[in-house]
Amino acid sequence: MQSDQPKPEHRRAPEMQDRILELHAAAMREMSDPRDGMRPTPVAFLICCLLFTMWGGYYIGANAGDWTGDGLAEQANRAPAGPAAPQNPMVLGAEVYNACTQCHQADGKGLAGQFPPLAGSEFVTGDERRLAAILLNGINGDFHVNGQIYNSQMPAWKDVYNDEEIAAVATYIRASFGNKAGPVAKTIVEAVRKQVGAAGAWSEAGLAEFAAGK
Amino acid sequence: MSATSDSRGEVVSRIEVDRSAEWVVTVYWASALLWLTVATLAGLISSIKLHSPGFLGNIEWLTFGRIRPVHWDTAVYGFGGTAASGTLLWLQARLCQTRIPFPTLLIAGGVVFNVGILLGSIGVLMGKSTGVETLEFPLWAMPLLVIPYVFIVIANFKMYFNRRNAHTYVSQWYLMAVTIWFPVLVLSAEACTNLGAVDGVAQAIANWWYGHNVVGLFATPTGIAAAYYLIPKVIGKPVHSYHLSLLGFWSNAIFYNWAGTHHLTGGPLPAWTITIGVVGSMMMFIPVITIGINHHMTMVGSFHHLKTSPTLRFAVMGSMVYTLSSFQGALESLRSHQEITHFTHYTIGHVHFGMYGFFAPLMFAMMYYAMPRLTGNEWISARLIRIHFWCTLGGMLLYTLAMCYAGIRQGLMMNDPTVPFLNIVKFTIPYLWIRTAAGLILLAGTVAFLINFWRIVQPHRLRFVTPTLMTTERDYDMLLKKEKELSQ
Amino acid sequence: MLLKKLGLSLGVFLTIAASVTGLVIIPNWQFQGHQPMRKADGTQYPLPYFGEQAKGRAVYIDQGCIYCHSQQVRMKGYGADIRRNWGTRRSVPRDYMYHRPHQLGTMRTGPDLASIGHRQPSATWHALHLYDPRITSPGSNMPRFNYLFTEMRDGDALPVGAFPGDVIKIPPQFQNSGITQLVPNERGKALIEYLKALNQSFPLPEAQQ
Repeated sequence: MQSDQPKPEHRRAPEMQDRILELHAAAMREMSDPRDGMRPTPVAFLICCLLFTMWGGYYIGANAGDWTGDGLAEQANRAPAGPAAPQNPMVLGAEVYNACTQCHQADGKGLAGQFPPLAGSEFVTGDERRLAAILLNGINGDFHVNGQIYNSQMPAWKDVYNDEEIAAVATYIRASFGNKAGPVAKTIVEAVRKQVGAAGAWSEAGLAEFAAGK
Repeated sequence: MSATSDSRGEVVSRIEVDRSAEWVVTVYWASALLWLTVATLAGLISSIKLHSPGFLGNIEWLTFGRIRPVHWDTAVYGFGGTAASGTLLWLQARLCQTRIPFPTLLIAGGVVFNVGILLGSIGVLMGKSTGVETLEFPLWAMPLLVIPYVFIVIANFKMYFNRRNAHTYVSQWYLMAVTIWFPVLVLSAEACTNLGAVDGVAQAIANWWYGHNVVGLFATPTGIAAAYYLIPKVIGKPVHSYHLSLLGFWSNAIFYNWAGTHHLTGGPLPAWTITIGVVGSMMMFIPVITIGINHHMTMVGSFHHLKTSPTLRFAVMGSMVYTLSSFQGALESLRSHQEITHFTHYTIGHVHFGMYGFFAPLMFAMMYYAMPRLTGNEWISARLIRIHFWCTLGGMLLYTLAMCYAGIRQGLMMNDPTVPFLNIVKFTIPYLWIRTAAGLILLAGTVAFLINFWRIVQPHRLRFVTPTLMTTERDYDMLLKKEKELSQ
Repeated sequence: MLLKKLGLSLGVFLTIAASVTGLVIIPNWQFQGHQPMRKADGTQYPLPYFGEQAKGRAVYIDQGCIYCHSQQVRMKGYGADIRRNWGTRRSVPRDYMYHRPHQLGTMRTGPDLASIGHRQPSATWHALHLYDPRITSPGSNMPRFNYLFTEMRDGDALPVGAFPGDVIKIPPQFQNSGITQLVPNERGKALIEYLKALNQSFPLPEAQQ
């Protein structure tokens, strides 16, 4: 390289003869085209490559499921974990509540005119069976909360969460956002599920009927 | 002039090749830089929109879901496609010592290619995207991209079969491979996705088989070919080992193809397809280490040249990042790694590490090396080269580190169901700001290069007689002033 | 002689032919036997999208939702997709048998949408969220899609073709420059229909692994 060149100067384009050389100064000064060195490949490296390839074969064999189009688990014995130890309902409830924040918001205040609040709502802090019934089956249509009318759709959670999770989230919302009602036992959810689990979403009237007919 | 061992014949052949390449390659590289600027701007807009969603918020044409694919497509096809095509033509001509055939047709092809990308991007902005990632351009724009590439394939084969020396150099293998891979890749991917040969999950696999291979079988081999040429060429030493070149080439060709499914780890794919993708990616350690040894061992003992040569500096940066980003990519494919980083900004960080840390610098190195030979001018400003280099390196590192760190944290939070999703979004916002800053730095580098490029393609009455090195001081205004004095 | 001349090209071609066969053609062939299943209510799952839903899917593609939202739920114990309530079970190839183009997506700047219609069936919620994501999800960085809605001030007449039931009230604290109500336009309505139809809750047997 020309790192030791003197300070560059400008040169005026010379007349025809020199001009061709001048134009190609870069092409003339460059090194010859690259050649191949012929160092041998280290044998240890080749052995490593071979071993590594064997690992690849082993990994495919061990993790390819059953090679079918519907064999999605890479190992047939990838058993789901056993039943989890019971959790603190307030912790589990907070986790489940993440699914509710879309509408009822993280602060439990809902969205004015659209999604009812949980904070200070009689439906939350009142009858435990009625709360469980709402959580399990959801709500459809006009609905009054604290004197305000709402018209929206609450999804049914019965296929998504088990009794423990529903009880936990009920317990959580009854004790959060300033609410101060007691916990909901898993057995209550279990009983309500048995009673009305097959029904569709509640209407306001239907829910009142259910609550009244203890 | 410093010592070169060439016969006069070789020099004449070089000059002949460069004359035939002058316009063709300049057209391709100039479009590459313009598209790089467009892609960077589109990327910046997308980046700003992610932390400030109100930015240009009411314009449907510029909604995130449209400007983001335009960013990637103009980067891959606009910058990548044209930069790689220029590189391919010049390198193959030089190594075969033949003129570039039918230059007029190739220039026309380059123009059509540019029109294709422009129309395709406008199509996406208008909402005509096909919805298949990396193949978003509406179908009617694709012939404009494919037909010009056919000319390049034919030109490449013609040069290869008319080569003057029987021995083929390793760069030539990679260039031949690119011209075969890329058309097969595009046509089969279009057939499997937008033309509807397969549906559903098989289509998703085809999509990511393509999405990964467009980087792996197009950008990567071109970048490796450039590094294999430039590093030994500039320092004037033979490449470390022919045997390693051979091993690296074929292991790369065999394994890289199969890696695409790691983009869908955990998804509704048969386990065996993902497992093969994981192994294909992990096996990449073999070619990457092999190619790494070849590049880095060639450099050993010549690192002092990095101080002066802009070409070498970009080329070595590219080859070093190639090693690093390939290691990162191989490990990233593992299921335990994907469980955390899949679906996060980590992947985005990795893509930019590879594209802007490996591929782009090697294309810049090619331009820094070849443009003085093609135009007969030297680079006008060493300072602009320095700005370009440090902005590229700094912006790329900032980008990669911020996104990869944010991605890991984001993935860990996402796998903890007690963390509300919106808290994760809020956590990433500061890193998205850093990304915008990094994008601005990269843009500054691109603009510096653009200015230098614009000046070197101008005809000058005055010429520098020595190469422009990183350590020299060159002032364009002085040159202009002297030209003015002379004309009086 | 010819083989020597073309050996490199041929070898290179074979590598790519092998991978497209192995990764695309063979899995596609394995999926050929997939059939929809009959639900308890007599309808089938999966069904191709048609009518409003198909139109909505086109809007989903045109707006590029895929760049921030995936549509694939990972298995239990791998990530927290199911515990985050993004689905009741993992996604399987049969869920996607009619999807063209596929919209699996590989980014979760926003949550997964494979079953958004199951966990959020309310059209009102979707409308408010699409109009301005910050109404329902404070801190979200999703773009607004206000051009999918007709904005109405108090006393404005209904847009042509809209029913009184389509009008959605904006919560008072988010009302700006007198705009108090929304009506989704044709594209907005279709997109909401599509989002409500995204539902992978039907328990396909192969999803139990």
